Amino acid sequence: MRQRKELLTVLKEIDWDFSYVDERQVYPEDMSGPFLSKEAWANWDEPFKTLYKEYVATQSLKEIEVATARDLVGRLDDLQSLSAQWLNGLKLHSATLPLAEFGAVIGNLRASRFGRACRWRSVATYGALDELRHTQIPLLVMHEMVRHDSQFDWTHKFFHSDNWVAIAARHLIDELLLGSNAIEYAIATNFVFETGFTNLQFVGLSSLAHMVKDRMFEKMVTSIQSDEARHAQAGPATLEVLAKYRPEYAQELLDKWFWRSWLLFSIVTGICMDYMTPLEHRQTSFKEFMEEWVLNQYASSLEKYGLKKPWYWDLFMENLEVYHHMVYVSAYTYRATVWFDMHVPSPEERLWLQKKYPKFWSDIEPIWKNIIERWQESNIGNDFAVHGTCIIGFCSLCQIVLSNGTPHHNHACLGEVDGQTHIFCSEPCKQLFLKEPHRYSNHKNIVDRVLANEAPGNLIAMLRNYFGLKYEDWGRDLHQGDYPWMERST
Amino acid sequence: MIPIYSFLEGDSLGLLIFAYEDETIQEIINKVQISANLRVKPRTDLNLYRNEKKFDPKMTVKEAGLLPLEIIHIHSEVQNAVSSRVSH
Repeated sequence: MRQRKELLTVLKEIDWDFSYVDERQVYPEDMSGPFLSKEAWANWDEPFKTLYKEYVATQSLKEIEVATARDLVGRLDDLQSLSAQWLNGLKLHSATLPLAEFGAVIGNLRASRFGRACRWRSVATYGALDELRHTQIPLLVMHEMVRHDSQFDWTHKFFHSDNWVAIAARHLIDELLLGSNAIEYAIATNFVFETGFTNLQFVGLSSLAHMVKDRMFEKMVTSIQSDEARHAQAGPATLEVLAKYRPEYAQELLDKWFWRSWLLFSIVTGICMDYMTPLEHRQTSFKEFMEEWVLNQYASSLEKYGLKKPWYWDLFMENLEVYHHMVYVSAYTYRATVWFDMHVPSPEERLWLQKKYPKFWSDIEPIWKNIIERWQESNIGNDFAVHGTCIIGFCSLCQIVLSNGTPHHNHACLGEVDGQTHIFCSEPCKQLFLKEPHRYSNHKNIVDRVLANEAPGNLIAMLRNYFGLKYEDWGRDLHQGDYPWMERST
Repeated sequence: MIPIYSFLEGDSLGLLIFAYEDETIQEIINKVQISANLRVKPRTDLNLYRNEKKFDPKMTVKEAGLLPLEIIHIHSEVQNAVSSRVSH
């Protein structure tokens, strides 16, 4: 034990003394973030304090557990027995996960070189190894499903495509994991994303996986979360230093990344929880889960470091009530543009949603009623009779459809940079863009690409030639419009 | 053709529609409603607004001075009052 303690002390204190270059050259601000003296980082600390030997032993056991779970409950037959609704949630979730995790390998490696504290670099090195594992596990598990359902191929294909969801996810992930300096990475990824939001996936979704009896997914995400909980500790440790020496920058990063992370999680996790989980297995709503596991914890963390809630907090609280419902119903009417199938919520599901989201559900319900009427007038299986054809708008910052706000008050707004007008889904997206236009203004959203003749304006050409969707893979109505509860006129 | 971002009262997302200079505002209102009718039932009491300014339905796109990639809102008088309260 004594030897371990000594080793950990050495690990904390070991560092370089530079002779022919100064510290600012070794840690340039582009890579390390704003320069703070060596003394500022001297007390950087995290609670896990793992030695490499211990890391290898622990990870080896975890790998054995995941492999055993895969042998017992992760084979094709097991996955095929799950509800179709849940499986489509898996397609959405799985596509956004593994290659984003691979991006996090790179982000961690940057911190392992450019992080300013020795222990931070050590934690980030483990983090890079963790994230490699988080890339491989979902790829391996979901690959089994490709033989059964080729939409699962999007687990790997997604980030390599120009599908609109992939463009949005890549816009976020590239900046978050590949384009951030070490400090921004620690605040954005380790603190906001991993400490704050991934509880949604790894606690919320894993408990839902348990309910729907998807033991493989449950095992996979809990195994991943045990790594995340460790390497995410680089976040609070870095925030503590930054909040002390550069509180304005700390606040700016938190406000930026809370909003950007929120939009992604609201869509991926919110939709999986409130729409893709069969009603009988839902325990709490996405909103309730956010309130319990994210908001309270996040707010108390901010208070601890003397920081404030983001300036857009009221708007965020409105978003919590309605945003993912706006996106889901919109996406349903453009479901051929995605790689998973979607369904019309049944009357019972809509009653549940009304109960859980009383503030704005009465504005969403008429949209579903209209869609249902269209199905009632259409032939079963005629998906395009109940599908949008008009080009839709996308935000110049988040690259997501312009669905922020409510059906009676959309929050879209315009902003101008160097004489060029950009559209945004919301005021926070606009402010983030205007604050760092050099980061964003050269990126074209889908409409910009269509108008520049880089992408086709025709829907079918867009699906096939630009979004990379084959006829057999693009999203359809899960029941082909044939719902037992839906009375038909024909 | 002028591409315009349009937001219809009751809809869940913004659409990009293409307007011709000689089309009337009423024709633009109809075009947006047709584009969104899978989600929102067409109505006859809607107006076209830009920055909360209402346009005469008989006016042409050119007369209204609608520019590429501007935002227009299509909604009723009542909704305009509600929106104004929310915005300010």
